[in-house]
Amino acid sequence: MLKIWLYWVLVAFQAAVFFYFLSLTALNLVLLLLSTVWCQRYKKRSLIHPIDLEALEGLKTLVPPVTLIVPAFNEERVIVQSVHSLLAMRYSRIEVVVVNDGSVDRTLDELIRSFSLRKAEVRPSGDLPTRRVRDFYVSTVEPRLVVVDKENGGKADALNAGINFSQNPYFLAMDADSLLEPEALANALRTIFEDPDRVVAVGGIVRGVNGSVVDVGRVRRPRLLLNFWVVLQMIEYLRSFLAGRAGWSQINGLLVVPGAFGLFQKAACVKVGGYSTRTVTEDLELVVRLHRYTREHRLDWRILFAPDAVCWTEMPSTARMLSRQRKRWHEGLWQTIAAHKSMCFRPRYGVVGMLSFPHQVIHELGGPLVELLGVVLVPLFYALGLLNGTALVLYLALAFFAGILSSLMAILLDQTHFPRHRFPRDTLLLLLFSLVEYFGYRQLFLFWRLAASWNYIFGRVSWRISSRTGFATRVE
Amino acid sequence: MLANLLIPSWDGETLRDVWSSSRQSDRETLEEILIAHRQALLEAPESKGFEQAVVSSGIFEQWLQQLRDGRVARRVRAAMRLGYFHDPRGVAALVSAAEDPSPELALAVVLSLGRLKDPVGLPGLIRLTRRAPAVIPDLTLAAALAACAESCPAKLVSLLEAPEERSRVIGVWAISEVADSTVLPQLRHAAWDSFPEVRAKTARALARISDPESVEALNELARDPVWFVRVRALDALGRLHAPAGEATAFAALADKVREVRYRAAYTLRQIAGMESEIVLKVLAAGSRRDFNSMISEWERAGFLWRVVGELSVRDWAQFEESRNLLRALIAAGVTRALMDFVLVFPDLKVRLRLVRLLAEARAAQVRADLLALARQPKCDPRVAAAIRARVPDMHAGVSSGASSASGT
Repeated sequence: MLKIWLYWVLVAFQAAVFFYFLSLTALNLVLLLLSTVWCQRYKKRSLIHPIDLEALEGLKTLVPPVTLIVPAFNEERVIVQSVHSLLAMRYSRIEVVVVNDGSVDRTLDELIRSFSLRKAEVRPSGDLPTRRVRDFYVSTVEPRLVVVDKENGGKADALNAGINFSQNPYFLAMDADSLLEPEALANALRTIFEDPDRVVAVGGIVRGVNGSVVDVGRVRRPRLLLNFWVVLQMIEYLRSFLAGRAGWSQINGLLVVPGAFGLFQKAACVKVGGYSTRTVTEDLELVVRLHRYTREHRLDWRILFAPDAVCWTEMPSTARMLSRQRKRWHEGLWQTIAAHKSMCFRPRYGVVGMLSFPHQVIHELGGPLVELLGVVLVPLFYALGLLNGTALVLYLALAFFAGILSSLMAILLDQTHFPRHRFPRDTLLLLLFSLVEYFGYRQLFLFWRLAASWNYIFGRVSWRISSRTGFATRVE
Repeated sequence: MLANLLIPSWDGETLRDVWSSSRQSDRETLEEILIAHRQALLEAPESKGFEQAVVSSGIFEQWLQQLRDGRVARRVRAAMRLGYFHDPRGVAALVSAAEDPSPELALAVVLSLGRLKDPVGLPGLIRLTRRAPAVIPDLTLAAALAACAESCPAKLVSLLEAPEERSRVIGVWAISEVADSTVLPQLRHAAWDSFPEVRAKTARALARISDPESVEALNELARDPVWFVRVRALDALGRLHAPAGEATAFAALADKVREVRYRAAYTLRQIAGMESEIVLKVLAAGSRRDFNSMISEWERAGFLWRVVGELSVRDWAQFEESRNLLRALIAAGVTRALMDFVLVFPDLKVRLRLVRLLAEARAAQVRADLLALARQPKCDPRVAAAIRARVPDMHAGVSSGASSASGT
């Protein structure tokens, strides 16, 4: 009796794993193909920059002004340097809005001292709801800089306050501890201006600054830090951006615009209600909402990815910090999917409803469960003699090779199309680590995602997280 | 520096020798070096000589050849290279290439012709604008057209009469960059265009040409049914500093669209200056929304700081005017920044006068805030003393009472 029961469990398990594995591998391969084609096309297009400020003088006055919104929570160590680097960007038509989100350190004092700020009676020009704005400051030495001082409400709340005080048609949401390449903004805007009526958001690529030589807010010599966690994250980021988001971008199914570099059309964001403060991954939720809005209102908005709009950020270099970050992301994913579950498998929502969203549900949320079942049941079935050893090894080998193919292709695309780490040692490190990623790191990652799912399902995700715990952890 | 080492003298012969003895990969590097050096020289006196050397070296012919035939990528590269060195043959070749169906090549041609700023390239660019491949952004085309039309802006007028909306938008945008008064009549006509974007860009062009005769057209545009046309028109009126636009701007302060109200405040600031009379008029009108728009816009330009600064002037009339304005503003609840000025304004005399004005306020909150200010460590002792002298500390009694109550 037990054996029959086990037999049926095994059949069901095999069917589930087979479906999961097949759908994931097929999707990854298709995305890889799409990404390769897309990167090729993008690279070809980017050889000539249509809004090359050096080429045509007139462009300097014709390009639209952009507001850079910098939410800052306890950033006293980096805020002044960060603002200086933003003001020195090659794109001159900018306004920098720093939102001090109730910092308890000297962030505001540092800004007041360094930029001779004084209070001004400026009311918000937008209506997005936010926590109370305490004060508004203008600089007496730098007219392009304003500072909003508000009560702590989390990054989403700070971004909404920034949108309310911004005066330009486009805004860039970023982190205070991130560094932008001088051409990053122009590159992202190029993507918008190739189709200004439809493109409402552009996400840049996030790269790890750990180990690089940074001087006056600029990454002068990108290097890779020989740190287990950092190198593996680098591979993960490359895979996610160049072998994933590039493909999603091609079919307008991109669901994530990174919080460290997201360029948005202000009117579109205001229309959908700005950032949500009810999730810990406000960037993901906003993009899902934009997709939802465009489909529900029969608009043709597009959300794209610009791989040459580079933002450098410090990656967590310890397991503890990485686990906090990943748990937060996974909890945010749960929240976003729960909030928009009605989009799943609905043809009305196009590619997003039929492909991107189900992918997040099945492979991102369901993945840890399937993997956990595999870890528990495979040895059990094997011990009971219900599994064929050769088939199991073949299965695992196939999964392994399909997995590393994405990583290797992402590294290849990076090196051939958008190279930043030019030292052979760095490339070699990336290649070597992409082989070992599946032994230990993935299992740890699985554990963190399971913990996050547990937290979400059993209601342990407290809203305290949204008051910028993760944001602060980005700084080591 | 590297270019100097490789090519010590900038004559065509030397360059030709270096070029002919180089391998294909080295040639590409050499081309990059030549362009980088050209960019570095830009307006320097030796720039012309260097340009001549490249044009006569044979490299230029090679680019012309590549532009005529070959793969698209190579033609695109040649088109880009030709844009750095001015020669009539290059311009003519680029104009011919503008007819090519390849959008990438068209984009390279636009950038190169715009960079060369040669009016000969204008007809080609105009034709390209009419068929406007989607890959070329409007602003790139406009900038290139403006660069080529600097000496002959009238040639752009044909675009204003084009049936395609996009061509008209790009045309008027380019005209706004050139900003030449010879096209004013056609521009004023464009202010009645059926497409709102054309009308908005016309307002920009009229502002940049800066002709007082345009005010009437701009006043009309400031009443346009489309909000962004109104914004552009008000902006233009502000840039023209035209007193005849003051009434329009004042009326626009009550517009239902926030962006228009802010722009109206900007326009008023530009035309009449940040005059107390306007503030008092807006306050008297009683609309909080209009007042907020105005004060927010003006404050970004340091309005209150200037008004407070006038408390130190010797001219009694001006002092009186500032004092009355500040009283009105305090009564309207504009106190947050003023409180800060009590702490940070450089002139002590002004700070003390400001304390006196704030202490006169009827609102209990203002007085409480003042007392809190006096307790701050960074408050000047003389200012703190003035605050205490003028505002009786009622909270002291309350708090001591409260603490004794909690003690019992």
